[in-house]
Amino acid sequence: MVSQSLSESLNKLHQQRITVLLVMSALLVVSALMGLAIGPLQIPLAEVVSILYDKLNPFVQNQHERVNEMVVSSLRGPRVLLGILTGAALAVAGACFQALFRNPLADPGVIGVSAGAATAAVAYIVVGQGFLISIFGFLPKYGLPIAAMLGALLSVLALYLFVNRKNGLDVATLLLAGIALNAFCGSVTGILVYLSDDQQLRELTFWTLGSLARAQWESVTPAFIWSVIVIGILLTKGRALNAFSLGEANAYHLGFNVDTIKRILIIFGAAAVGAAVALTGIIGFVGLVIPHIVRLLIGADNRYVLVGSAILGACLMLVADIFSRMIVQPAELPIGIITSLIGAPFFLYLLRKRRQLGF
Amino acid sequence: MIKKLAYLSFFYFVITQCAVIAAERIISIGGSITEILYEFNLQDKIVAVDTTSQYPSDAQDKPNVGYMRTLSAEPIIALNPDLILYLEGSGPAETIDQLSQAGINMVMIPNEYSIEGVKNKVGLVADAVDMQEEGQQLISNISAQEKQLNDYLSDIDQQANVIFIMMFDESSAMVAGKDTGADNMISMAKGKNVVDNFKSYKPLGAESITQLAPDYVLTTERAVKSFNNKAEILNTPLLKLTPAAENQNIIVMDELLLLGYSPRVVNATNQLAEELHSQ
Repeated sequence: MVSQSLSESLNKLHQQRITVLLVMSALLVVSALMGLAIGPLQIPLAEVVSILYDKLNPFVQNQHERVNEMVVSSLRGPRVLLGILTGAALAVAGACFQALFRNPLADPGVIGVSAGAATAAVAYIVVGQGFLISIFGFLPKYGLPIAAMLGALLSVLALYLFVNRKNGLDVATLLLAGIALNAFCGSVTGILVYLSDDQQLRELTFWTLGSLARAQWESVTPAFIWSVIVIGILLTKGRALNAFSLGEANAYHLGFNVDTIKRILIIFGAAAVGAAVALTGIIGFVGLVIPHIVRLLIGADNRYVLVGSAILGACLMLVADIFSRMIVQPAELPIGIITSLIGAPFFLYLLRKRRQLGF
Repeated sequence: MIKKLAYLSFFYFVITQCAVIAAERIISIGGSITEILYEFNLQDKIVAVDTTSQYPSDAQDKPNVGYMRTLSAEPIIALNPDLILYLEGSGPAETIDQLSQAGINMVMIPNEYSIEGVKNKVGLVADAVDMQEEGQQLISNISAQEKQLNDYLSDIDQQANVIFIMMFDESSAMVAGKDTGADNMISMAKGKNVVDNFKSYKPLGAESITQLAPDYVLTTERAVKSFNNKAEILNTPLLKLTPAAENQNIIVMDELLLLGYSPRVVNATNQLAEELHSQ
């Protein structure tokens, strides 16, 4: 009798969560459409929809105004896809790092993983490219994203090795380590800026504050496929993350291979952040704000938190990008400014409320 | 009949020519290009400029598409331009590609740091907006000024040691090395850039600057905005121990005039040369 009512209420909870996730998905579709429809160039919604319909349907060939079609399909299209990709990647990586470090304030930007990726990208441009050309005589195709991912990986590893049982797993230690890592990456970037020539310097300005403005199909498409794989793998680890939140020993006793899961979280979390940073530069606080909002909405079960973070992260990025396009037009505000504007106060709020929230 | 045909072909010629040239909505990316367009009295056809377009001051009232190196395609397309004149180095490259894909006539203007380079710029801009005559006029004006400048400079043989400071704080200064607009400007005015061991701009500390021992400090109005007077600038730890500070030799010039390589280039050189060789 008792177990029946328990399973009933669990079932109800499951349904509630699914409903919330479905609402979020609808929100994502709406924000993606808004991302395609809103921009400095005013295109009627009906025409945007008809252009989309024609693009997706090879049998129809309607005539559209060339410029409108070009703006929707080759400017806003890749931009929206890039927004979805980076938003989902950063939010899911944030949720994973929060579980891995058992620290609710672990955001790829705050703890220095994004900075590690960006520094590696800068190093690749200033010294790596010349080095590779002198050895192989050509540049490998995905050198820059690979460098960014390696940079992210190194950062997570360094943090993980530092924040272990011996040094303390408390919230402050990781944040302080993050400050140190951010400062270190900043100074390495400073050295590289000093070494760079004019042309390289122009490339570098891009990484300091993130932007989706450089999105093009040829770079976004492979990154999207890659991110779908990486995020997909991370999404299957919800159950393991739940066990992790009880402590490593308990997770082990629940039958999880703790070391393997840690490796997966570190490697794929870094891969997600690196891929995003390689295309957009540093966009902060998405990985912090989103998982927390998702937890407020559907509870702390990581199986749902991860999926919800992916969807809501994409939404936030798309909406923030619309603002970045519209606020100071005809110029453009880097999207990193907008996410930090939302995220930094939220971070302080969490810090202040941390006793009530229990960390 | 033949007369009729001749008229017709004349009109045809005029119409086709107009179709090719009549740029009615121009976006100008680069301060010197904007200046040239104003020289041609085309200000009413400029629909937007970039942040480096500060002269003449009217240009600052135009819609602004942001910094020339961080342009974004869609807001520019939304302004519906039929000609974009952009200085070499504008970007990012993706944006330039996207703008040409949108079918906008894009004309890149090379930015060469010399008087010859400025004349070249004027010629290219004149071609793009089909004002060759005005272009020739402006070029010959510049040449006339250049001749005067050369006459003036030919009497001067000593070279003044100059350091150019782009901006500075308490501990370091962004200093022009070789291959920069400032470096060329200094040599055109018969000065010598004391920095000759690196290219482009790098930050230098007080000790390096003291060791370089410049006789003149050249800097921009923007860099010294927070100071009250020249003595105050020279009294900062960065500059205090230089011969320039000892003799109160500081030259403050408008950034765009000095580094813009615009039609005012000879004026700028003249002004700098007079400051350097007045004693």
